[in-house]
Amino acid sequence: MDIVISSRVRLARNFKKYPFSNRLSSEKAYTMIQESRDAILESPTIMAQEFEYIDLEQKSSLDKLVMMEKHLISPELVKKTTPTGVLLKQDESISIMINEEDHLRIQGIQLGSDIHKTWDITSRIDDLLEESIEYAFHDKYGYLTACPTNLGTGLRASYMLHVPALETTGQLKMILQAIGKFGITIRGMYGEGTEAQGSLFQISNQITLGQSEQEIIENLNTVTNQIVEQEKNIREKLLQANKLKFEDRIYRSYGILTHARQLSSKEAMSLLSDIKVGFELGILKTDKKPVNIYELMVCTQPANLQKQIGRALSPDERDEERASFLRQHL
Amino acid sequence: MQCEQCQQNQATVHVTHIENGEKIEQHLCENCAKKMQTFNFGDSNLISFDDFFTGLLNMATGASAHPQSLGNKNKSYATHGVQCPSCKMTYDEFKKTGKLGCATCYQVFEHHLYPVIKRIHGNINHTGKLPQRAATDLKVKRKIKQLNEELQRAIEEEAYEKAAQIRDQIRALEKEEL
Repeated sequence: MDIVISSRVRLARNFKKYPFSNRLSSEKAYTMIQESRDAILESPTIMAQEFEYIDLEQKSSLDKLVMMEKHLISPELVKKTTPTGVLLKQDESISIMINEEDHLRIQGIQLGSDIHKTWDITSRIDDLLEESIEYAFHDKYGYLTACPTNLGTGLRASYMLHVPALETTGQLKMILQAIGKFGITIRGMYGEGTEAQGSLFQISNQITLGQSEQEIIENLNTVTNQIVEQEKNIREKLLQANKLKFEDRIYRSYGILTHARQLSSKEAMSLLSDIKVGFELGILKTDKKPVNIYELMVCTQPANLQKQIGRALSPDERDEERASFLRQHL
Repeated sequence: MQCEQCQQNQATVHVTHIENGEKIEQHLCENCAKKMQTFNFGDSNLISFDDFFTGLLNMATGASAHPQSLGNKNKSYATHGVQCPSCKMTYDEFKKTGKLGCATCYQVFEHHLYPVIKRIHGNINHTGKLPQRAATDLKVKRKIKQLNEELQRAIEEEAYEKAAQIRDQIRALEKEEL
């Protein structure tokens, strides 16, 4: 079962010699961006060729939203009006956001639950950057960040989870209260202050100082494993308690997805979430090659949908195109 | 001097803040100053992040946002005019945005930040990854700590030759540290 959709690791880093992003003049920001680019692109490693630099100032807001929906950049970076850029690895597994809240936000993202691998790759990029950049560091407080909530390791490790059973039964709220004590928090799809759709949530560490990176990741793993087990249990219980009702809901959702002529993003997410469970529990079967529901979820987000169609669409047009896209792919 | 706000009490709190590059001085009594720092519900009846953060900061530094504890004199306001020499940020600005201006701010406002950081993280000593080039002292300290643990183990195992080697390593590192 793909309850864990993806693993993500983010490191916040700042140059020692420049004020933090909120105090950085445009002129200095350009210099800082150039130095960050050079640190990767001019480095004598194979990795240098695998990265490209994207100047976000030159990008349309649609292009930026496409990247945000794929979790390559943060909502905060999309909103920024100061000079910003991103160094992106070709396979989209690493993105280095430049001049976000901190000078550098190094993010590693992988599908599935291998967060140790994600951490290793991200940490290596961090080392590579440090070969040419002197970071702001404090003996006691560790890596210095604009906001004290990221101090220390600057690490936010997170999993994206698909937990419809926990959500519909109201268990998630209870879990949320309990995990706070472990310094772990659950947020919406795109992180802080965003809505959860299609029962997708992000679970991540809250505390960044006083624990090593390994401890933070282990702690997150322990809590996540627990949540995954609970989700599986509840799915089983729901299925046993009322198989007909359970199956009916999944088939109805499948029916709408394969026949509807108009679908809003929110409705599509919720229906896709239902059939994801259906496929995972073997209730739904398809003659077509296995469908990656999460990919469909990303593809039908407003910006990604418009990108595929190749033009800006009104909300009504989007709903029509979304329905048509899903009919083709399911 | 009388309080600018209520025009009744003696002004004991002098707040200086920079707004749009202009220096604004306010002379307030303790009551009015505390009121200014409490959660601002505004028209929309919502707490903004900034106000919420300010509230937390006040609680962390001991200046309670609750009016009941007004009798509890707190001098922390007196230093709010302090400015970071490097990026010109004031502590008041930090309280509004929740973001510091540069690395130097952590030194300038250390006294205020310490309880805030402790409240957020519960812990104030970084034990994670170290940069390759900075933090050489810290690396030596960690190495010594690690060797001491190994030494202890060697002694328990009665591996005295190994223990002597580790002891020499520790001594060499301690010299380096001085």
